[in-house]
Amino acid sequence: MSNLISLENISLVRQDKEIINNYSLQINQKQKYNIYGENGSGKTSLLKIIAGITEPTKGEIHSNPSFDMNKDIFYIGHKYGLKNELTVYQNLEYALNFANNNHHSSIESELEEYSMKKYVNTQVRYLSHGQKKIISLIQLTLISNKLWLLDEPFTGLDKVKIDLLLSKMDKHISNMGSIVITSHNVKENFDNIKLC
Amino acid sequence: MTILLREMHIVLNTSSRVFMPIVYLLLIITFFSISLEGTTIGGYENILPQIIWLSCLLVSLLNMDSLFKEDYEDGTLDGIVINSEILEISLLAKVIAHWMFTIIPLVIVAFSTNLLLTAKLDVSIILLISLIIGTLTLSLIGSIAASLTLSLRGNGLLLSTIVLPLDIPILIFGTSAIYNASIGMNYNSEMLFLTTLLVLFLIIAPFAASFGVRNSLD
Repeated sequence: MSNLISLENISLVRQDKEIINNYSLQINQKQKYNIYGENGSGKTSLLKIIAGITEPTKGEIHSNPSFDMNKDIFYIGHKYGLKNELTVYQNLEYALNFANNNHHSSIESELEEYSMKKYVNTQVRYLSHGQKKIISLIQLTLISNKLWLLDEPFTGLDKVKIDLLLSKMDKHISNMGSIVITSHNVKENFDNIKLC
Repeated sequence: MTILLREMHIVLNTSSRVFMPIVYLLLIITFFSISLEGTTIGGYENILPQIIWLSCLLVSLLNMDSLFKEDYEDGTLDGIVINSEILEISLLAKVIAHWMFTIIPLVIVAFSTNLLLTAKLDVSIILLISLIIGTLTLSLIGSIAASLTLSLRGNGLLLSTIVLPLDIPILIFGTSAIYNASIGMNYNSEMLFLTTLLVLFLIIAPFAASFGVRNSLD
């Protein structure tokens, strides 16, 4: 089980307030992590630090030489990363193009699996928040980067979609992937890490 | 290339992005025509190219704040920052896409309007070339201000305040080149200055915008 990313003594200070204090974490291959804590405990900030969006105030981040921080991470935050003016298909197509992935044929089968095929040519602006979230999660399985970073992925999904997402996560782990999610509570079958 | 294609698809799906600036440009030119008709010595058509140049500058400022704003608000900017091997090149592609699909139609309309109203092809061609160079430089300057004001609400006013002083040299050299062309004088030095400013901002803007975007997402 090789190590993908190591966070060593990470601190994050914003507006004189210490959001993350001297925090260390190792993200290993074939592992699912759930970073949980109260609102404002720094979960999203930590996820953004791992993704490389936010620079920590102190501390170091090391990655395995075989792990490319630009190509192997897929991050979904509170925003869905979808263009409202484009159709569902166009959004997924561009997500694949950005990742230099040519598996365009699998777009429709993935949409079918999530019961979203009828929206294939619908502009994203006409979808509900839950449907937008599903489309953004479909990008995960289409592109299949090594490390998935998901900020509260189960919020806004119904039971059927949560189960489907959990099965996709298990499949990703069995394909040597890794997952880090954030939530407000402990999750079964995840390595639960409390952030104070 | 993917960024360029995606921006093209967005423009095709929302044609108002292209047509609204053109409508504004034509309105400004019409209002100038109505207010100045009969009041200018030597005929209105002598100052029309300068008016068109100024109008293009003002209209191009209108949607400058949306350069990165929509990507910031829908989360696609996070993806660009994470997955770009060289963020500066991705942001430059965004600026060029914005210029190609929002500003270039404006420039073509400006060229056609000048040609129709003045019937001077040589001056219209200089207008076209100076606008192509000038508006790309304006977009690059705008990208710096847009990235710095990205996380602020109602950033349009602040963005204009930052951008307008930097736009003045481009306006001066652009309108001077047109004026010199219209009276048969040499305009090479003005065009050279415009080109120098373009090269300068082509080098500076991607790095400054990258710094601004990273800070705004932080």
